[in-house]
Amino acid sequence: MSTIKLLSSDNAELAVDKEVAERSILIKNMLEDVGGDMSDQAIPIPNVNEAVLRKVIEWCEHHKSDPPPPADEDSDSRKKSTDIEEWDQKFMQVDQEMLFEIILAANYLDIKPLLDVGCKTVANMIKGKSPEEIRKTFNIQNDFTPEEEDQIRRENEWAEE
Amino acid sequence: MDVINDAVSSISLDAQIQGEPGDCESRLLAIPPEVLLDIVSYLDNKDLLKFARVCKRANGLAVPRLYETVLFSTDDLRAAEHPFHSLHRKDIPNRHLRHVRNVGVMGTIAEAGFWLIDLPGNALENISSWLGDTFEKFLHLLEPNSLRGLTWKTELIFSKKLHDYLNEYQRNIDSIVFGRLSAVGPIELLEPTGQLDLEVDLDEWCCQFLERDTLIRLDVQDIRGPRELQRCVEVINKHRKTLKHLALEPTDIPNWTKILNTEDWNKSTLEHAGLQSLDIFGFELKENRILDLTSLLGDFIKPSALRQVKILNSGFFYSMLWSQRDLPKCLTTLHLDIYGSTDAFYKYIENKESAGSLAELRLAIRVKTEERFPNLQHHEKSLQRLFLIMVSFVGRGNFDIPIFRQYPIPMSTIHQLMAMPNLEELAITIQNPTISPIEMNEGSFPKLRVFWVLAVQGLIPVTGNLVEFFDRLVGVRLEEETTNLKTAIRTMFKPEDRYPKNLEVIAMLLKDNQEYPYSYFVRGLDALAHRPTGLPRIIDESTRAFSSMPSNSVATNYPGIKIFKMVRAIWREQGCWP
Repeated sequence: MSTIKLLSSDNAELAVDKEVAERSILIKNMLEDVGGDMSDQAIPIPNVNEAVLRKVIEWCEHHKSDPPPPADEDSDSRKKSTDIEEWDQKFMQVDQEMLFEIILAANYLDIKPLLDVGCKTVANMIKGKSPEEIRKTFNIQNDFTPEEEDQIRRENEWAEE
Repeated sequence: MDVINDAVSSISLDAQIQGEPGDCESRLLAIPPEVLLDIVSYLDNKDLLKFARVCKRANGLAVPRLYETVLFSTDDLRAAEHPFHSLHRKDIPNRHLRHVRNVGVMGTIAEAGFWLIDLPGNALENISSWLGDTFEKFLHLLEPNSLRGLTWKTELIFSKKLHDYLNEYQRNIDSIVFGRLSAVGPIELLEPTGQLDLEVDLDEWCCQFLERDTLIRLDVQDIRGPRELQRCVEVINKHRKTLKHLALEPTDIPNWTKILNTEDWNKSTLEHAGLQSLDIFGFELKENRILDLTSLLGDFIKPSALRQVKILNSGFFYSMLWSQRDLPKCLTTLHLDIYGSTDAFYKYIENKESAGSLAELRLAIRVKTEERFPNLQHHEKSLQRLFLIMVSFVGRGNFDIPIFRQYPIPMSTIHQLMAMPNLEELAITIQNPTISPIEMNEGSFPKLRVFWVLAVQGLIPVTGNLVEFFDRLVGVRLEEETTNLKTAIRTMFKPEDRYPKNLEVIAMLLKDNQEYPYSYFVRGLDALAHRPTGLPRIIDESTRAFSSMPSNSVATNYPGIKIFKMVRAIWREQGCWP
C-alpha cells in the first residue's frame, strides 16, 4: 500500500496511507491531477493544523472501508436523523474549539461523512435547549430587543404545534 | 444549491433589515454559512423555533428552513383559531412567507371533524370547497413561481380555482405527490346514488395541472380505475424527458396491462432523462401474463440507469426487469417480492457486475417448496440493510389473512452475513431451537444495530421485565406465553452472553403470517402502551411523525433502522430512553 505525506499549516509532516487520505475528495482529486505519485513530496494542507489533521486522519483510518454513501438516497429531506454511531460519538467528544476545527477541516478537505458527523454533533448540542441555554452553550450574545423577541414569537406561532 | 444561495442571501438581507448581527465571538456562528445551514437542517420545527430566538444571525438561518415546507392538515384548515391561520391573516403580513418552497394538504374530511354520513347532499362539496378556500387564500400570499413541490394527499376537491392559481402563478413546481386517501371516503359514499360525481372534477383539474409542466418527481398513490391509470400514462409520456422519480400505486385495476400497452403509450425514441427510481405497488401480474417489459413500457425505463427499485405486491411484475438485456448497474436500494422462479434474479444478484453500490436489499421470496437462498458475497461491503425472507403460502387464517411458512436461513448464509462489515439492520428467519447457535467472535456482525428475528413457530419469547442490555430491546408485547428472552438469546448466540456488540434492538415475530416484519414494528408501538409513563403522548407523537411522512406508507418506504432512530428520538425527548 502506498503512503503519502501531508503538510499541516504549522509545518508538521504526517505520513498517511493513500487509501486513507483519499477519503478526502480534495486530496483524491489532487492526486489524480498529478498522476498519483506524490511519494516524495508532501501535500500542503494550509488550512489545517497538526492536531486537527491528526484527528481527521484518525477518523479516516477508522472509516477507510466504509461503503460510498448512496447518492440522492433520501428524498425526504425534512426528517434527517441525528443518530451518530458509537465510535463517532466518542471521536467527537472533544472541546468546542476542536469540534469546530474538525468541521472546518472536513469542509475544506471535502470529507462529507465526517462533515455530517460534525454537523449532527452540533445539532444535538442545540436540540432540546431553550434559546438562553443555546446562547450559553455557544457563547452567543442576544441582540434582540424585547419587542423583536415578541414579534418573532407571534410570527412563528403556527409552527409551535 | 438554490436553497443555499437563497438562504445565504436571506441572511444578509435580514441582517440589513435588522441591523448588524450581534457580537459574533461564537465559534458556532463563525463557520461558513453552508455548513451552518447543514447543521440547521437537522433541527425539527420545535428546535428551529428556539434557535430562531437566540440571536439575529441564528434567526436568519432558522427561519427559511422553518418556512420551507408548509403542510396543512384538514384540521388546520378547519379550525379558525388554529395558529396556522396567523400565516394567512392579512392584518399580520408574514414577511417570511417568501421562504416557502413546498406546500400541501394532507388528511381526510373526517379528520377535520366532519362525519359525512349525517350530512345532506351538497354538504360535502361545500365543506371541501370551504377547506380548500382557506388553503387557496394562503397560496395567494406566496410569491409567484416560488413553489417547487406540491403534496395533495387528501380527499378535498382539487378545484378549478386551485388549478388556475397554480397554472398561472406557480410554474416551477417539479415535484408532485398526489394521493387521495383510500379509506371509505366521500366518493364511495356518494357515487352509487349518482348525487355527485366528484371523481370527474378531481380527474379533470388535477390531470390538467399534472400535464402542464416538466416534472422530476411524480408520486401517484391510489390510482382508482382504468381511466386514471390512462391519465397517468399520458402524464408520464409528457414528462419523460425530465422524470427521474416515479411511484405508482393503483387500487385494484385488473386489466392494467391493456392500458399500459395501448397505442397511446409513446414508444418513440424520444430522449429521456433516465428514470432513477421506480416504485410500484399493487400492479398484480399473473404468471401467464408476463410480457416483455419493452413492449409494455416502450423505452421509458432504462434499467441500467436505475438506482432505486421497489416492486412490491405486484405478482410476476418483478420478473420482467431481470429478463432484460440491459440490467441495473448501480442500484443502491432494491425491494422485491419474488413469486416464482428465482433464476433470473439470482443470476443478476450473484453476478459481480451488479456489485458495489447496493446498500439496502429487501427480498421476500415466495416459493412452493424450499429453495436455496441467494449468495450475496459480491455485495458484502456495500450492504447496510438486509431483509432476506423465504416463505411459502400455507393457506388463509382468520379474517382471510394469508398464512406463510417461513424457511430458516442456512448457517452458511448466516456466516456470510456475519462478516459483512457495514450491515446495520438484518431481518432473517432462524430455526430455533433445533438450530445450532450462531458462533460469535469479536468481529461478528461488527455494525449490526437492529436485528429482526423471524422465528419459526413461536420460539423466542419476550418479557416485559428486561434488564441491562435487554432493557434496550424494543419489547413487543405478545399474547403468547412469554418466558425468558435472555434464555432465547443465549440459545441463539454462542458463546453465552456474546451477542453483536453494537446491537441495540431485537424485534421479532412469533407468528408465521407476517411477510414483512417492519409492519410489525410499527404495530409494536401500540404494545408500548403497557410501558410505564407518558406513553400515550409518545404514541401520539410517533403516529404523527409517521403520518406526516410524504411517502406511500411508512412500512414500505422506511427501513426499520430509520423508523427506529426516529421513534427513539421521540422516546429520548420524553425521557423514556437512556
